[in-house]
Amino acid sequence: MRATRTFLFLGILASSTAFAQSNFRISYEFAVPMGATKDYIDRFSSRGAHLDASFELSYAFHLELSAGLNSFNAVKQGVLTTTDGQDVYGKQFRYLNVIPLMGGFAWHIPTGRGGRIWAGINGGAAYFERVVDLGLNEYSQSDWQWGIQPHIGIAFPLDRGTALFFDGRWNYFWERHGIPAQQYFSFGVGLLFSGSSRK
Amino acid sequence: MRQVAWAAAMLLAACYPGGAETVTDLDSVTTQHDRSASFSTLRTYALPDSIQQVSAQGGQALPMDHSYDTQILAKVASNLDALGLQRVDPTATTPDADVLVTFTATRYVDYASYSFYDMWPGWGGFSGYDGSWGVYYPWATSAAYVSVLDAGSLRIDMLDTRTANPSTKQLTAIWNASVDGVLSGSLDSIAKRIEKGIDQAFAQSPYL
Repeated sequence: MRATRTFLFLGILASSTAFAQSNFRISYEFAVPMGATKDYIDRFSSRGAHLDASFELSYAFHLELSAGLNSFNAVKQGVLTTTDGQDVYGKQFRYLNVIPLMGGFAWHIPTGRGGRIWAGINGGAAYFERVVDLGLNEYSQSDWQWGIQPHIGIAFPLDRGTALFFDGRWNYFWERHGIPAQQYFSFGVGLLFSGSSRK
Repeated sequence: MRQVAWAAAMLLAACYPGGAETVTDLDSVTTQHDRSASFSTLRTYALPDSIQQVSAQGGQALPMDHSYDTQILAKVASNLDALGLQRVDPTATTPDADVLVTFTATRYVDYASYSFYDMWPGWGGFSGYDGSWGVYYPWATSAAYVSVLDAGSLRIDMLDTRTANPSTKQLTAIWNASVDGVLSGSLDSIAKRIEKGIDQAFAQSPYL
C-alpha cells in the first residue's frame, strides 16, 4: 500500500510540476574496467551505449532513469578454473556484457540556452554476463548484482531543444552469490533532447 | 535521431570482437584431480608401451596414426620422472600408480536447417516464396546445412593402485589430463602440439 502511494505521489509530481526541464539523453560509451572487473578483463571498452531519462521534480532536482550496455572483451592465455573443479588451459576469449538498470536523483544546473551541468547518483542493479570461449567449449557465469552509479555531465546547446553532452559514471556493484564486487568507469558522448527550457 | 541510432549500431557491430583465428587458438588442456588423493606418497608408476584408441560418443571415429606413439609416451614418462617418480616394470614390481594414455579422434557432423528466405529477404530470386519454405537436399536425410569438425583428444589417466577396492572392483583415477584440439595440419605439427599440451598438463598440476 505504501509503495502504491509512493508511486502515485511520484506520478503526480511528474505530471504537474515536472517535465518542463525534463530531458532524454542517448550516448555512446567507453569504459575502463577497475578492481575485480579489471582482473577478469584488462582492456578498455569502446562498445557501450546509454539511454537516460531525466524528469524535473522541483527546480534543478531531477528524477533519473537509466539503462545501458557496456561490452568488454579481451584475450588471455592461461588456466581457467571452472566451478566444477577443472583446470583448463588455453587461449581464453573473454567477454563481459553489463546491462545496468538504474534510477536515482540528480541536480541539473542550467547554463543558458539549453546548456546544463549535472551531478547525481543512481542506484539499481546490473546484469553481468561473463562468457569465456576456450578451446571448443564455452564457459559462462551470469547474475544480477546490486550497485550504485554516481555520475556527472555537461551539455552544450546545439539548437533549440538539442545539446551535445559529455558525461562520466563510476559504476560499482556489490559482491553477490560469490561473484566479487565489480566496478568500472565509463564516459560517454551523446545528444540531449530537452523539453521547454525555464528562464 | 535515426542517424544517431544507426551510427551507434554500426559502431557496435564493427567493434564486435572475433574469436579464434587459427586452429591452435582452439587447443586446450584440461586437468582434474582427486582432492583427497595422497600424491606426495607416490613413488612408482607403470606406463604401457602403446597408446590405445577410445571411441567417443556422438561422433564418427577416425583412424589413428600410431607413428608418434613412442615420442608421446616418452614425453609423458619424462614429465613423471621429473616429478621424482620411478617407472617400474609391473610384471616385476607393483607400481603405486598405473598411468594410461589413450587417444580419441572423432568427426562431428552437425546437421542444421536454415531459412534461406530470411537470410536474403526481398531478393528477386525468391519471389513467390516466403519464410515458410525450406530447402530439400535429395542426398541428405533431411533439409539440412552440414558442418564437419574433426576433433582429437589425448587423455592421460593416473590410477592409484594402492587404493584398489576389491569389493567394488574399482581403481580410483586420482589425476586426469586431456589435451584437446582440432585435428588439422601435418602429423608433425599435431604431434608437437600434443607434446606441448602434455608439458602444460603437468605444469598446471602443482599438486603432483
